[in-house]
Amino acid sequence: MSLLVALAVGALFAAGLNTMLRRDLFRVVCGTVLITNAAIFAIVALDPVRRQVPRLPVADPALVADPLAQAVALTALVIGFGTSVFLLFVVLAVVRTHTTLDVADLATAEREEREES
Amino acid sequence: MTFLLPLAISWVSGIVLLGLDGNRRSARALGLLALVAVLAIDFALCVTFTAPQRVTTGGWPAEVGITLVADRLSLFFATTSAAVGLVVFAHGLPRGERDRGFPGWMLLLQAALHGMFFTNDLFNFYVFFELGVLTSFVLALHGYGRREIRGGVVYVVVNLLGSVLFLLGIALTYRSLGTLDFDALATRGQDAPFGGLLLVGTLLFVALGLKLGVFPFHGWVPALYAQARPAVAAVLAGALSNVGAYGLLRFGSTFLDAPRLEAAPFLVALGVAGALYGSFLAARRRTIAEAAAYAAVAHVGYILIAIGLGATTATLLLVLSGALDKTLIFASLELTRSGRRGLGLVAACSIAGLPVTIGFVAKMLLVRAALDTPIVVAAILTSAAFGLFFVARFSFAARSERTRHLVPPWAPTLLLIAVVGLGAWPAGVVRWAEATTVELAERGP
Repeated sequence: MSLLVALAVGALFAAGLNTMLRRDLFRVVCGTVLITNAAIFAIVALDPVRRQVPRLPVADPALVADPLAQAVALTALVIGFGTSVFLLFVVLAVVRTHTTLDVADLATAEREEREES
Repeated sequence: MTFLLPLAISWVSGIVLLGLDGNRRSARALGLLALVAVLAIDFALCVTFTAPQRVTTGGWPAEVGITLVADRLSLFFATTSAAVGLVVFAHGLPRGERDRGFPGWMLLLQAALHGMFFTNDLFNFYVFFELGVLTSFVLALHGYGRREIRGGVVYVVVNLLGSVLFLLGIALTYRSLGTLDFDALATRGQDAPFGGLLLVGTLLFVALGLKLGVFPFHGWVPALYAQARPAVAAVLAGALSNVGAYGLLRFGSTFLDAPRLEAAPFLVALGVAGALYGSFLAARRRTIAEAAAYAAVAHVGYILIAIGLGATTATLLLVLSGALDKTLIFASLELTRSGRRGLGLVAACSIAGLPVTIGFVAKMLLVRAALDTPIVVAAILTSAAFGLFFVARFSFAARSERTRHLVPPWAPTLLLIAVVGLGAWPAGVVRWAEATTVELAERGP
């Protein structure tokens, strides 16, 4: 099971990194979303069962999940949403000012502006 | 309890200011007042410091409730960042149709920084870290011109990657040590298996190194600092990048002490490479902003050498001098030519490590810490020699370059007094830094 989870996280991470390294900015955004979710998946999968005794007395401690790992995952998920939306806004701003999504075009624009000044 | 005031003041006033029109005089006055209060309380806490203050919310036992601690290290970083924030705010923020939110974001950045420095828990550190990163994204893009957006894209993508690595590092810390509380981590880190700690240490080092702009993760530094507005570059370079140094010191001297000692030669080598590379390029760049950005990369190299050598006193002095110099040099970009030649040149001299500046004191401490390894001393001195070319380049460029808009020079003048004053009488700061070294060693293993 843990091998399967590790492979899944690895595959997500690899797919995200591969997508992120493309020239198309929209794909870069998709790649970062994939990578963020791979990390959150890793947190959820890492330690589902609490290794310390839960503070509330329960019959079978093995059935109790660790709230801290889940709290971290939930917080990271919400923050991930926020940053993804912001990144999409940045991409929108790029399209509006440069009418392109290609990273190479941005580099060309920078070189041209520098030569002008 | 008093140390919670700066956090609360900057947080509340930041949110209030986001709802107001930040172009108005009253809103700017409110922001300035809040920042003065934050700096005054931070400084008063430093002056009256006797023992670390500690607050746990809701009366919960430690490890369950949210614990905040103000020790010497946190107060040092908080005061430095508050001073940088105040100077940049007083120097003059951009005014315009789209700059209404600027004062609010500046205060929220202070809130995030204070949260990061005062928290005693890796989880809360992550939350404040993300708050700071998001605020810095908004600040970096401010203006929304073609230049700012191009610089911002690189910064946002690179820092998102850094956040993911930091998150993974936290997850693995919890997996291998079973806690996220700093005190519990410090005790449990001693008998934890080295392999797990090394993995955690590598992840956190890369994440914080991205934030700090360590060579070879420095790609975003020139892209952002040269393209963003001078006020933004000043506050991000002077205040936000300190987070990286704080994290490396705090974690590297407690639960990640073993991996740091093991990786010390590697850290020093990376620092030497960064210092030489950065100062070489800083001496060759055409525009002041770009040259200053590469000087910042070189400065991070010095910090890394100091951390690798375990010289906490030198690290703290380097952080302070870096924060003041970088703020002064980026703020001087908005001055008249004569103002830039006067104020900016002193900052350039401090960056190069010429005497009677805080930069000289910091680099002297670094050289003294490195005396056992002559090759490192040689590298530091070579890098400082390139710094002289940077000063020459700066005095030339300061005469010819155009400024976008001019601002009266009184706020940077205060910084100039700090740079030279601390350079002439460094005893107080050095004593504080030495006491911090002792305190860190006590809290560590």
